[in-house]
Amino acid sequence: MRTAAAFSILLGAAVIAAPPCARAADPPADGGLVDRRLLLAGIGAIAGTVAFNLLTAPTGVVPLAGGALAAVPYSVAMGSRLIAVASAGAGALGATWLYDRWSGEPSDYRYLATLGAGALVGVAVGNYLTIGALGTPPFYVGAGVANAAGALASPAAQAASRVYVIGTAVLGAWAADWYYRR
Amino acid sequence: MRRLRAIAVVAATLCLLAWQAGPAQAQTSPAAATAQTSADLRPLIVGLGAIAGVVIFNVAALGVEALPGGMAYAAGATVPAEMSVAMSRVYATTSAVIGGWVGYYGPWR
Repeated sequence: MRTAAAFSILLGAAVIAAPPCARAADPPADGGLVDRRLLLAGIGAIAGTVAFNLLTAPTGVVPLAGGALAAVPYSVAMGSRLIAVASAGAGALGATWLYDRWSGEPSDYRYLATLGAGALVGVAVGNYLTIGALGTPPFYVGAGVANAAGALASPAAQAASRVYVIGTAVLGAWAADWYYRR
Repeated sequence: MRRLRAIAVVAATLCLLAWQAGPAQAQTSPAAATAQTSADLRPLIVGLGAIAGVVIFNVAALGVEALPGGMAYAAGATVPAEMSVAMSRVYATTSAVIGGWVGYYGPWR
C-alpha cells in the first residue's frame, strides 16, 4: 500500500494538471500579465478557502472529523500540502482527459502541465519558506506517529494551512501561466 | 487583532488582483469568446476531477477514515494526524473549487 501510494504521489507530481478551476482549452489570448480567467478562478479559490475557514471556525479546525484531533507535526502538515496539490492535479488532469475523449476537443496538455508544475513548485517553495524543508507526505496510516518527534502545528496553523496550500498553488500557477506566455 | 489584520491584507490583495484583471469584454477577442463558450464546461469538469482525485487518494492510501463525516470513529476516539490533514485536504480542495467556480462564472467575468 505504501509503495502504491508513493507511486501515486510521484505520478501525480509528474503529470500534475491545473489548479482546481483553471480553464483548460486553449492557451490564453488576452494581454494581461496572467490570463484573466485563470486570475479570477485563482482569486475565487483563495477566497473560497478563506470563507470556509471563517464560516467553520466555530465547529473546530477540521469539521466533522469524528473525534478529538491528535497533534499534527509541522512536517506532516507541510507534506499534506504536497499530496493535496498532486492528487488534485492528477484528478483534474484525468477528468480533463476523459472530457476531451467525450467532447472530441483536445486540450493543450503542455499548458496544463506547465500550470500544474507551477502549482506544485509554488507549494514546495511555500513549504520551504515556512519550515525550511519540503515536509513529509503522510501517505500511510501511522505517518503522524512516525513523525511525531518534530514541532507540532497549532490548531490555528492547521486551519491556516488550507489557505496557504491553495494560495501558494494559485501563485505558482499564475507564475507558470506568465512563463508559458512570455 | 492580528487575525483581522491578516484578513484585511488578504482582502486588499484580492481586490488589487481583481482590479488588475480589468474589464472582461475589452480583453476578449471574438475568437477567444467563441472558444470560451465552447469550453465553458471545462472548469466544472476540472474542479470535480480535482475533488475526486483528492478523495480517491485519501481512500486508496488511508481508507475511509480519511474522509470527513466521522463515521469511521467510535465515540471518544482520537483522530490521528494523518487522517485529520487528509480531511483538511478534502475541505481545502472543495472550498477552493467552489470559490474558483464563483470566480470563473461570476458576473464580473
